Amino acid sequence: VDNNDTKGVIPPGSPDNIACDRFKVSSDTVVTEVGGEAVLLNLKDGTYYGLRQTGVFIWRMLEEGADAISITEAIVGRYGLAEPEAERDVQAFLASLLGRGLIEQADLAGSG
Amino acid sequence: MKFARPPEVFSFPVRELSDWSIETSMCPPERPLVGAALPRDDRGPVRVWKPERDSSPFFLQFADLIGASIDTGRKSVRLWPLDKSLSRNTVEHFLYDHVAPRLLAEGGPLVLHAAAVDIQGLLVALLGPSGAGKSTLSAGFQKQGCSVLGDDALSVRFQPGEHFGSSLYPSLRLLPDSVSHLFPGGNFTSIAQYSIKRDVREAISHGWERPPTRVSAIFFLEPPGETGRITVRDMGGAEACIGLVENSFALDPTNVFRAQERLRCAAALTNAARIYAIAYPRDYAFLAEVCQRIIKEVISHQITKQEAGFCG
Repeated sequence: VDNNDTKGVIPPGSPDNIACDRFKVSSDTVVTEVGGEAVLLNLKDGTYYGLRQTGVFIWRMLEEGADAISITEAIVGRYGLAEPEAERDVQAFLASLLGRGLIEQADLAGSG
Repeated sequence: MKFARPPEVFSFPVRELSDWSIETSMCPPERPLVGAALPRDDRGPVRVWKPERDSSPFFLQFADLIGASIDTGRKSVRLWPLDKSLSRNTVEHFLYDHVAPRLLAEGGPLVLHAAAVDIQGLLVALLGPSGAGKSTLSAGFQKQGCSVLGDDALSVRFQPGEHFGSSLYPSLRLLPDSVSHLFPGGNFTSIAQYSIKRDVREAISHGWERPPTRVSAIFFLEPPGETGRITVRDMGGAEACIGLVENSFALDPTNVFRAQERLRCAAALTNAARIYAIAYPRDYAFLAEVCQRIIKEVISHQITKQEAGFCG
């Protein structure tokens, strides 16, 4: 999975311990789709990030509340990647989004 | 300190800003620089200070030559000369190329830092950082029989089904080297006292009073490649959209509401126009070929679009 960042590559984050977490899009993130790709705007610092097709696919799953495991399974099924490779790339991508404040870990305790 | 010269009268060359008033102060400001300095962009030596309170004016300073307080509520600009030797063309350059695009962007349209040429009734925008060659390429189009609409700021508005663009005024500013190659023997004044660029607008076909023109294609000018050849590539949607936003004017780039509006407008334009990146040797011998390559891309796409419409 390409991390699909056109505004300076998002450095891989620490993928540890996020496999089972659920995420939500930060309230400070604005997303706009353009020609099958997407642009994310972080309102906190005014930085723009680009997502190509794979990134858009993952982003839509995040918006639906998917966790890293289900995203990895979907990536394996859709793009035919080996599972270890897909798992590593998805976790690194999610960690990068987290590090940039574009997504947040959902508060499972408060969700009932 | 007071300046001996009486204040001169200035106005914006943009119809949408005709209700703004411009006053000139006789003396330098005592303490204009309050508030937070906003990030500097690459469009010349301009700094913008954001007011401490929403009701206070912005302050723009152009090098050590002139400042302006901008009251968006009252739609007024107060010019503050900071240098006794300030020339009229420097004030106009500051107002036309730095103040006006920022004010216009506050009102809603996407205002791009772009040159624009008219190719057979279609507007083609040329984007790139300062020094990328937008003005020289525009002058090259003039030599190919196309009209130069402007070389600095392009206002883009969405109308049902299409985007229409207007240059703020018919500018064309060239470095002396470009003048000597493209307009040999021409005697042109400098655009401002800090710059060696020449104002050659009188040499171009004027497109100022023409109605907004449909935006057909946008070309981002990239640095020359190692191959020494002309290369054109389609830009992806995200790359193109971010490029448009980064090349747009804003009075306050930190205003999140305006940032979302710029992104929305840039995305709509990305989805509507053909957007390319072009790299070419910065050699006058290639200029005509570069123009012809762009004309070919624009016209061939237009023919394809018409055929598709006919068959559909």
